[in-house]
Amino acid sequence: MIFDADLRPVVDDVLGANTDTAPGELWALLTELGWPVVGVAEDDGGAGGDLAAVAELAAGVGRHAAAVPLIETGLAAWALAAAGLPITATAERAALALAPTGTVEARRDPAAGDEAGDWVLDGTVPRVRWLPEVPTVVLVVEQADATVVAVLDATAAATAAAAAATAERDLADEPSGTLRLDGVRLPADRVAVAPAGLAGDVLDRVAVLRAAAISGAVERACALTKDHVTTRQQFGRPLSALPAVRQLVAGLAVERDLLDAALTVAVTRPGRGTAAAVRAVAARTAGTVATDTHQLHGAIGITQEYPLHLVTRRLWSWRDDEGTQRRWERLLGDEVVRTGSDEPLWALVTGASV
Amino acid sequence: MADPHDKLRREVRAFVAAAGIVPRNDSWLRGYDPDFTRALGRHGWIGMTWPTEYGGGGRSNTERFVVTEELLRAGAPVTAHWTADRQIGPTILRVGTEGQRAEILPKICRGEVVVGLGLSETEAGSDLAAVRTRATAIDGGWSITGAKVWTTSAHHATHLYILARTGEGASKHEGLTEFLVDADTPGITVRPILDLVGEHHFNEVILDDVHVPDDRVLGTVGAGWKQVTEQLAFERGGVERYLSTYPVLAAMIRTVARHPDRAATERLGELAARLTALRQLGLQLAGALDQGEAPVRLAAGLKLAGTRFEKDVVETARYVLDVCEGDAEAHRLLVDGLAVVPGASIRGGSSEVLYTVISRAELPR
Ligand SMILES: Cc1cc2nc3c(=O)[nH]c(=O)nc-3n(C[C@H](O)[C@H](O)[C@H](O)COP(=O)(O)OP(=O)(O)OC[C@H]3O[C@@H](n4cnc5c(N)ncnc54)[C@H](O)[C@@H]3O)c2cc1C
Repeated sequence: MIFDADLRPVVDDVLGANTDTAPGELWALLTELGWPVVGVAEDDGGAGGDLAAVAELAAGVGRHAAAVPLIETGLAAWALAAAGLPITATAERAALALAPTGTVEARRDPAAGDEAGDWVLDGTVPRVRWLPEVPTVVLVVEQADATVVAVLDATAAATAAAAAATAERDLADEPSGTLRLDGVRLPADRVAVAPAGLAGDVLDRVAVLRAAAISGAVERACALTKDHVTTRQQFGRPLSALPAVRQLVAGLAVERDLLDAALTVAVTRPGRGTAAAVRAVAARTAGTVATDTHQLHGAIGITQEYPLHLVTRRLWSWRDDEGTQRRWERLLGDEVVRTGSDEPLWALVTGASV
Repeated sequence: MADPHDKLRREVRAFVAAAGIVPRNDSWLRGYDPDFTRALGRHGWIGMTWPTEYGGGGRSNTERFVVTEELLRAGAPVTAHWTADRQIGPTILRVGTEGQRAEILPKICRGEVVVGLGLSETEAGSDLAAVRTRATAIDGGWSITGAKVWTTSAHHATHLYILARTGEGASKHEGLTEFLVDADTPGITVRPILDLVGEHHFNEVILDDVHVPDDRVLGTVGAGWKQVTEQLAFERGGVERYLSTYPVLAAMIRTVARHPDRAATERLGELAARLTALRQLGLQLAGALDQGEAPVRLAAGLKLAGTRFEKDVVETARYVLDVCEGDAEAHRLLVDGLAVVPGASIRGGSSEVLYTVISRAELPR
């Protein structure tokens, strides 16, 4: 899937040539290019660029299995800018923690009065990607009538008695920790109260970018597979001569077409429904592609030395981030049955506004 | 952001609503209604993309796409003109003579032409190039003898498209020629074949020394194979490859809204997500046709995934209508939809053959 034809070759150059570069060095390079803040308006301190550009970067992370929090930092910066906070806190890499309604309590300290008082945070956010390796966490708390956005110092949070980020690693061996907030206090200048809709907008953006990253990993898995079946010989000819192999490869191509199509919709018609749709499709595709590409590789595919696992393990991990396929389908299903007629479905599918 | 086609959509919806349609699944194959077709013609919704000099609308494939998706959404009876509008008109435009264009295209646009597609034979199904129906040159034209089978709508047809052998070549793909024969030509016999639920949609067509003038040859004599494979991009890539069971999907939504159920809602969400992707693929194909491309590989993928979706809609409905207590109308549509499913992944290229088409593009030998 090509989201941004000008950007894509640059992404391949940079991420493709630096797969073994030390994370810190690679990050310095990405920062120099401005990539962590693509998608954030220049007026807000970002590098500008539309959703397609950010999706191209996310797909690049997937295609090259780049072990950098590029997507997460970009999302954190975008959330800060949307809430009217400065994005500088994300410069050295950041994580994004999404707290759905009822999971984190964010309140002003009553002792300090309403005006400039500190904030107090209580609650838990599991599976925050890149925590605690990154120095900053942007926390987005969904409330009934507002979205509270807060900037936390992740290293301090990890050591302070009041808060802890437990280090865990996901299936792709990337950090993904639990953020525990136990009466954490924050000064007022690190917190913003934004409109209620922002939490949903952040989640939509996460969904689309995760799907874009999945599409990148899918593309790589399929490319490796095509390579493998055309070079590996059995029965005196390449695997690609066998009808059953050919059918599986064709099936992969169709799955990819569908994911690309759903991504096109989500990027050109951003919204709650199209984001949930692409996220559900991506989760499904991730599973099918990981299964079939491994099947077609035989035993070599499940070795550490062969690169397939770099993308399939990410597919398995990413597809369950921010909810599994079923969760996104339920969200979309609720949207679709909302009125009892097929109008919401038809509007989702066609983009028709009548 | 307003969709640029909202106005067109509104017009089609108003027209459909006024027609008081009882929705059917597969209404492009099982919904023959010549009056409805002619009314569509009066609105300019047949031959929409063709040049105005031939009675067409001079509009884009994307606009045609919008009209066809609204019609199938409603389960409207569009069989009478579907084949002519979808592939025979475009074929005439691409390879036909000026005389053929001037004579036939305006009639199609008025909804007066019903075409039966005479491709398949008993010994030529997936292996279409094995057709045995033979056209022999005679004075001023051709004599066609042979038998076609599964010819949808032949019993209503004004014209029969016939793929026939006119010569031999090194391969069976050579020596094939396309004809567009007037259905009332002497020597043509149409016999019904009832489908599994006893409905009459397809037929056997016997051609016995049918005399066809030269001006009924479509395109170049002997170039039939190349022409017919291009035609298949039109045949496979349309909205009817994923919307044939849409009325069942709409019935499920009504049902779940009345009797909420979490698992049923999730299933609907899954179908909605897949439909969003399929429809985008369809739109891309329409766009490709506007660019003058014949996207064979993409069309095969759409048909493969689309007919699988149609089947999953019906399978899901069995469950949803059970746990959410579907009403009589919903059950009628489910039963109606079940009859569509087995043929959908066979007609117009069986799924296994489509896998071959796609794998050839993916893994060139
Ligand atoms: C509802 C309906 C309407 C139709 N209308 C028309 C019409 O209007 N005009 C017309 O000409 N035809 C029509 N057809 C016929 C249709 O085009 C043929 O059914 C189709 O081409 C398949 O041919 P067949 O039925 O002879 O199956 P076969 O060719 O005998 O194939 C049977 C099965 O074998 C397998 N198979 C076959 N070849 C391959 C291969 N190369 N690789 C892997 N597997 C393979 C597939 O699973 C296939 O489904 C219609 C069919 C249906 C079901």
